[in-house]
Amino acid sequence: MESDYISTALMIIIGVGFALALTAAAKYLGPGRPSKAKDYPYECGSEVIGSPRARFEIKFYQVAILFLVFDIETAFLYPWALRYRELSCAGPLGPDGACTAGGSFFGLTEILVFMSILIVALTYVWRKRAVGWE
Amino acid sequence: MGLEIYNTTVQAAVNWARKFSLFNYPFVTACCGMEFMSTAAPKYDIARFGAEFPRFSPRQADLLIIVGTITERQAPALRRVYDQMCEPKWVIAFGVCASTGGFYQNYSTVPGADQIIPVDVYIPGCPPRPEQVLDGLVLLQERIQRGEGHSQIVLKAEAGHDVPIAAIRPRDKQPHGAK
Repeated sequence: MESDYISTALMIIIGVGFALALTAAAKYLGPGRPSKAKDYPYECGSEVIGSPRARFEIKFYQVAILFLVFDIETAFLYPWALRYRELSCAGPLGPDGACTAGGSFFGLTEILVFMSILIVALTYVWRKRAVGWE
Repeated sequence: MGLEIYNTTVQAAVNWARKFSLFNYPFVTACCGMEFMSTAAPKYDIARFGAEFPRFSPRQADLLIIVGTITERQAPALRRVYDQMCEPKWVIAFGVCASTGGFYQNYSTVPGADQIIPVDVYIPGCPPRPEQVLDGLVLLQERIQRGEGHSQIVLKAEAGHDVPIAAIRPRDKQPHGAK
C-alpha cells in the first residue's frame, strides 16, 4: 500500500525538481540584461494609457453573480433533460428504451422544486431592479 | 582550459538547445499572416523544427517574426516589442514588405524592418511560400548554432570577445518619433 504512494511522491519530487532546475538554469545561463524597455508594461508595443487598476462599476459584479445563478440552472437542467425518460418511469427501462413499469412524477417534481426556488430568487432580483442596466 | 571548454562545448550545447526551442512572437501586420498560419498549421508543421509555440508576450519569446508591412506609425511599437524581448533574441523578416518595404514606395511605409531593428534572416516572396519560410527558419537555426545571430554577437562583444565590427549592423537606429 505504501509503495504506491512512494511512486506518487517520486513523481511530485521529480516534477517540482525539474521545474526548479530549469528556472535555475535559465537564471544562470541567461545573459540577464535589464533595461528600461523591459520594465515597461507590455501593451502590444503601444504607450500605456492609465493604470491597470482602474475602478469598474459594481454593475459588472452584479451581472457576474446573476450569470452564476443561470449558469448553475443550465448545468442542472441539461443532465436532468437527458435522464428524464428514466426519471419518469417507476421501473427500469427496457432494451428498446421503453418504460416497463408505470409512469412516475419523480423527475418532474424534483425539477419543479428546483425551478421554484430559482424563480423565487429571480423574482427577488427582479423586484430589486437588479436585472436592468440603468 | 576550463574557460575554453565552456566557450566551446557548453556554448555549442546551449546554442543547440536554443535553435530547436524557438518561442516565436508573430508580429503580424498584413496578409503574409495567412502564409504564417499555413506554416504553423499541421500541413507544413513548423513544430517539426521546434518553433511551434507562439507567445503573445515579448517577455516569453526569443524569435520575433515580422509578418507584413511596417508603417512609420507601427515602427515605434515594433521597436518597443523588440526591446522588451530577452536576449538572446532573433528576428525574421517574413516577406518582401518586412524585408524591404516591397512594392510600397510611399511616405508611410518603412523600407524594411531593418531600419528599425536588426534582422537576422530575410525571407523574400509576396507572400513567401511555407517552404520558403521553413527554409528561412533552418537558415536561422544554422546561424544560431554558429552564434552568428545579431544579439548573440552583441552579447559576445559585451562579454569582451573580439567580434568583427561589420557583424554589428549599423542600421540599428530609432524610427521617427520613437522615444
